[in-house]
Amino acid sequence: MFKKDGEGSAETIIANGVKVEGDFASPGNVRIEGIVKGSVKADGDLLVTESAMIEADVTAANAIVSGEIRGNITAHDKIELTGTARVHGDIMSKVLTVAAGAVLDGRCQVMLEGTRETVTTRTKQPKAVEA
Amino acid sequence: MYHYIYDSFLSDPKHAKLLSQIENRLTDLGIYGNVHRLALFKSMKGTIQDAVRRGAKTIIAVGDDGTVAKAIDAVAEFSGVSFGAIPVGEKHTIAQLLGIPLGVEACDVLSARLVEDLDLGKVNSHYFLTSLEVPGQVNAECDGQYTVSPVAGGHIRVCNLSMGERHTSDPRDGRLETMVRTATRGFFSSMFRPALATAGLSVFPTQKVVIRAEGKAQMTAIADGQPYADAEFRIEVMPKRLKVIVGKARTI
Repeated sequence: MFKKDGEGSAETIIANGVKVEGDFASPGNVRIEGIVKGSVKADGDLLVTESAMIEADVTAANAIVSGEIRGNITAHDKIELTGTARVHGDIMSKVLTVAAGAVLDGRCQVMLEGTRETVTTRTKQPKAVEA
Repeated sequence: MYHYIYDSFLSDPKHAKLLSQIENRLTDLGIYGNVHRLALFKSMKGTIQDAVRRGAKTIIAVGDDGTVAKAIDAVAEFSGVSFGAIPVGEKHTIAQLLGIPLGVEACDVLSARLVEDLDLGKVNSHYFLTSLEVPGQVNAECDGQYTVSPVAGGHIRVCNLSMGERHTSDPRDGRLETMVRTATRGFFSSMFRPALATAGLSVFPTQKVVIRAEGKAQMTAIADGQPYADAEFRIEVMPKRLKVIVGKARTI
């Protein structure tokens, strides 16, 4: 999975100061620092930095989120929300870690390993998650 | 049979000695062939078309980056023709990327004949090997799926073969890298130390790119150092389009 600085392994980089509109798909790892509107699909890992502003449904193998996402996030393995993450949408993955200070407004659906069972929780209003 | 295309600037007497040394070395190696000298009314494209019509299987461009770029654009039209270069003159970045040394030493690389099938980029009706750059406020539509635009200015570069400090493009992977470089300036850096403003680099692996400039009837692109003007640029990768003689010191 991505290291937190992530740049070295990213095949696609959307830097700060760049806007992407449409259905964005990448066969590898993606690092987003800029603005994205539409949809995002990465077959590899996704790193969303603090400066990023995404208005899109997001799908990736793993995701580390430090910026703002307005849309649903689906990861096949793991989602990590760092302390600066602001997520307005539903989250679905096998593993979810949320750091103190992260803002989450939506449902969290954690798929239990080896079963089709899921555990769903819902935050009632946008608020900072406490560790 | 090797066909050597000498650029017109080589008619300057200051290059005569080097050309003579090159010709001697090619003769020693047994690969000397037909020589075509470009002139005011003898273009690269016409010369290469004539040579291929007469059965040329290997075209060697003798000159600088401009010579190589124009020769690649012409040779790419034909399948089964190999391309090589003997760098002479001031700028020879393309030859350097291909691992071809300057002057007489290039003859040994040609003789060793290490051939790679390389992708080319095609912009409208022209071919390029290294990269295409469009300065100014433009946007790029990538693979017909999404549009990339710098928020506050920047420039777009589409790379097929390049060695950057932060990203390398391989002309054997069947794709182009669309790069957008933007300047991100903080208040203090832009006011007092503009040189400290850091540039952001975005990279998008793509196969087809359309570059447009909003509100402009025409814009200019630089591909392999050659300027092209058009209302929009349709760029696509042409996989394994050109057989290129490369050296062991190549960057790919």
